Amino acid sequence: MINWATISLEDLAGYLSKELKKRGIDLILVGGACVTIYSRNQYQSYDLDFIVYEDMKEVKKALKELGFIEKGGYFQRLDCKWFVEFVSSPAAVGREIISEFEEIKVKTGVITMLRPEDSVKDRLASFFHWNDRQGLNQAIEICAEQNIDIKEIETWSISEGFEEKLTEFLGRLQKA
Amino acid sequence: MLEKLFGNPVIEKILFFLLVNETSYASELRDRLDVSLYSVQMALGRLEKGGIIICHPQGKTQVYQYNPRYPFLEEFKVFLRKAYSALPESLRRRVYEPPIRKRPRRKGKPL
Repeated sequence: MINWATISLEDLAGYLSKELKKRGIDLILVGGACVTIYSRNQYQSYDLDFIVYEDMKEVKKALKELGFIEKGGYFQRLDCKWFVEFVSSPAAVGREIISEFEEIKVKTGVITMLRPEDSVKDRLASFFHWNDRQGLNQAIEICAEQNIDIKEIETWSISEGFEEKLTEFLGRLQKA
Repeated sequence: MLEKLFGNPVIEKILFFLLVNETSYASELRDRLDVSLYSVQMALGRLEKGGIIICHPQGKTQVYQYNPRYPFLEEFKVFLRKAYSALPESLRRRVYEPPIRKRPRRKGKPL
């Protein structure tokens, strides 16, 4: 039995992943919720962004069965504080299409989500393109909590054409 | 030209306009493309939802541009540029490349 008022972000992600999988729909968790999980709540996201490759009509039907109401592009239950959103596919960071994902088991199910490295790249992409300092901080918070392959981050950043901002990220990371 | 592909003539026009002018806003698109504001807003909403464009607020105006994080952006622009080059030059100049001053002008500078 789900306690909607107190369910955690990751337990909701696990629950939705399990319930939609039963209906033949695979969810991939991306965005800020991945940062929350990987940074061990250093950053708190309030929405679950999923990528889905199946027909959205089926997704909407499934969420309706689970008590979620669609409003302004989001899905929400009135008794639950988290929002659910479906972002445009494909799963990608910059020009790089993502095909490998992490699977983490929580008490309500198994979450398929961005790997920690891709979550760092995702946040850095906001810093690179929009000078989003929050994105930079979140990337550093993930690195502080996870064993990140920095070489992979460096290679990706250079291929995306952001060597200068990579240097700033690495400098901040050393001081962290 | 691409309206059958995009399912909507306004989408094609907006994509061409942003390709040439980089940024724009709804009322400018309405005026330049000679379509209703409602059609422009619907099309912008669809493109934004698809991750192809993004908008930034500038004052009270929502300014739209291609999403630099759209994973197919480079290839998509190559495709659009080819389609755009197939448009008659008169149409390109009249609709998408109007001689509007875009360079900065110091506030209060006399004409």
